[in-house]
Amino acid sequence: MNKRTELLKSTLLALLVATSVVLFANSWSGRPGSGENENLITQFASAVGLGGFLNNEISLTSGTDVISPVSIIYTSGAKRIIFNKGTDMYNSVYGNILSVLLCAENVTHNEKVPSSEWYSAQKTQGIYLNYGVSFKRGVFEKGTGCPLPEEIKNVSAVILTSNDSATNKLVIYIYDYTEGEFYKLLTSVSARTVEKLLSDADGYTNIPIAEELGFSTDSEINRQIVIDGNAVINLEQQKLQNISFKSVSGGFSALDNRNVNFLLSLFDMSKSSAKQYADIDGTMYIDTYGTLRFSEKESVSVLEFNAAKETHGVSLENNSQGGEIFYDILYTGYSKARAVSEIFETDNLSFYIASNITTPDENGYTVQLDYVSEGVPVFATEEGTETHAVTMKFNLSGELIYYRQYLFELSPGNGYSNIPGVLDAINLVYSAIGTNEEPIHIKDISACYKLNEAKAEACLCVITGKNDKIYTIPSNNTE
Amino acid sequence: MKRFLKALLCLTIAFSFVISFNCFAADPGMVGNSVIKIKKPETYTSTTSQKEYYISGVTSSGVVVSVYRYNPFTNSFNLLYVDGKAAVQTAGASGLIAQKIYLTDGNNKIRIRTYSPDGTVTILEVNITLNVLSLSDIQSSPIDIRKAIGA
Repeated sequence: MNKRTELLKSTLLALLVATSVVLFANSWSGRPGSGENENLITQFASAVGLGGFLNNEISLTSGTDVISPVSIIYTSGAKRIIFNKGTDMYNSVYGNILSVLLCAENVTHNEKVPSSEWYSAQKTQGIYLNYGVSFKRGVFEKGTGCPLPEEIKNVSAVILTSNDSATNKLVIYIYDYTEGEFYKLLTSVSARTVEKLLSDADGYTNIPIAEELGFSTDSEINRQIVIDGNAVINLEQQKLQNISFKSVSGGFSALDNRNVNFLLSLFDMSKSSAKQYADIDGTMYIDTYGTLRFSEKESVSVLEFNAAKETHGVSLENNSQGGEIFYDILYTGYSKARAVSEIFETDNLSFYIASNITTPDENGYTVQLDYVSEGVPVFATEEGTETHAVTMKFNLSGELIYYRQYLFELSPGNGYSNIPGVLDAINLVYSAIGTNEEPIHIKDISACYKLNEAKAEACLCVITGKNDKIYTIPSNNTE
Repeated sequence: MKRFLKALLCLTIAFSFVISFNCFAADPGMVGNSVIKIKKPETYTSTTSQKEYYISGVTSSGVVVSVYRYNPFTNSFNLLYVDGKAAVQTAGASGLIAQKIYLTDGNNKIRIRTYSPDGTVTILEVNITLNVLSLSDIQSSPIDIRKAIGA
């Protein structure tokens, strides 16, 4: 009797130890990880033969990568330098800027200010961070580690400036595009922090913003056309290097077992329970809770996940109890997109957030990402319309119920394309929209690539309206 | 009765004066005419520290806008050439116009000429003074100043 009890106890103990080891590994692999902790767990994982798997999970994402500006603009006088996400130059300046942004900890006073003060700050000297979309304050704080006053609802853009000659202290301006509000935060930090970054940079050129040209106010002669005052209006003819793109082929069968397992695990599926099928549209794995399909749409490969029920999807990897759920959703989604890119070896493309991260709609949360290659956004198309690289939908409990990611590789091509001038592009968009829809509001204008009929076209992208509709104006010639 | 009519007549004349003044007086805050509204510069006389300068405005589709500078030696306005191209633009559907020019030190008397598809020609002039090292420079770009003095 005693021996049987001892055996039972020993078995139970062994089981408990095994469970704790598994739980320990799981909990560490699911968090962002950094520095020493990351090395420890990586070493541990390698030792037990899980190195590849855990590396995939841990090396994915940090909050400051998720909540990072699409472009950083240094302004000195009326001269500017633009650093776009996805370039080496951007990476070299972003870390320093982040350390300045963290100075928001030392805010001594904050107030709402009129737009004129924001634009005045834009025109003198400072660092402008354009996030492209709006982030709820809690999401922004959690991602960047930068605390902000509670009055601020969302963050769409930030200016770090030393333009307060009275105190010579760092001033931070925040723009909430969603609410149309501007805030000024006074800090106790020396303005020298920003001045040093600006003086160390080279290559300032004269690039106006829409507000400087007066294009951000209504015209009185023609139909109303208003360009967001922050939009950079590069009036010079731009050249864009030609690129070629190759769709990811082979689908699941091109992946080794380890990567298939990893891919399935991202969607709470496993190779032992999921069944593989093939139909005319592609190949898929079907599990009790959902379907993961690999297919090809208009020459571009697409990975798509659909949960069987909207009430039961893939749960969050790092659900912070009682915290900012939209941040956890964004972080999870961003990490999955990075992981999928690594699995299909398309990870030379960076991502940026393409949808507002503010409030959920009645059905749940939507997160959209776009690709950026060497600082230039890349759009796939669906039935001729530009579409986002990744679209994710989460139910109100934060479970992933829909996922779609376009998969392709880009490589430098021969020669350059001349993309249209900004005013030519605006005229074409103006004509295309027609006379019924007014006023026309242009949010941003920038160079981009558009994948169309197995080609990557250099274009000028014009983003209009509140629903961020994208118009692409193709290049007129190549060299 | 006569007095009343006289008073009414006087009032009507006074009103008509006020109204006509309002109709024809130039708006001091707006540079432009019935064909083109200049967005930059915002006033007829302005000062800048930027040698490379953009004149912008809005007009109707099809209007040809050309930019000239006064030459005091020849006492005439010459069409500007910027980076080898004539400063002439035809407004597209949006009507937006932006023309880069290079300012010379001191006062630049700039003439903006419009030629509409119906043959109408308008001309307006603005004065832009380029101050290379003005007080506003020192205030707006201390970095350059520091570099200039080797600090």
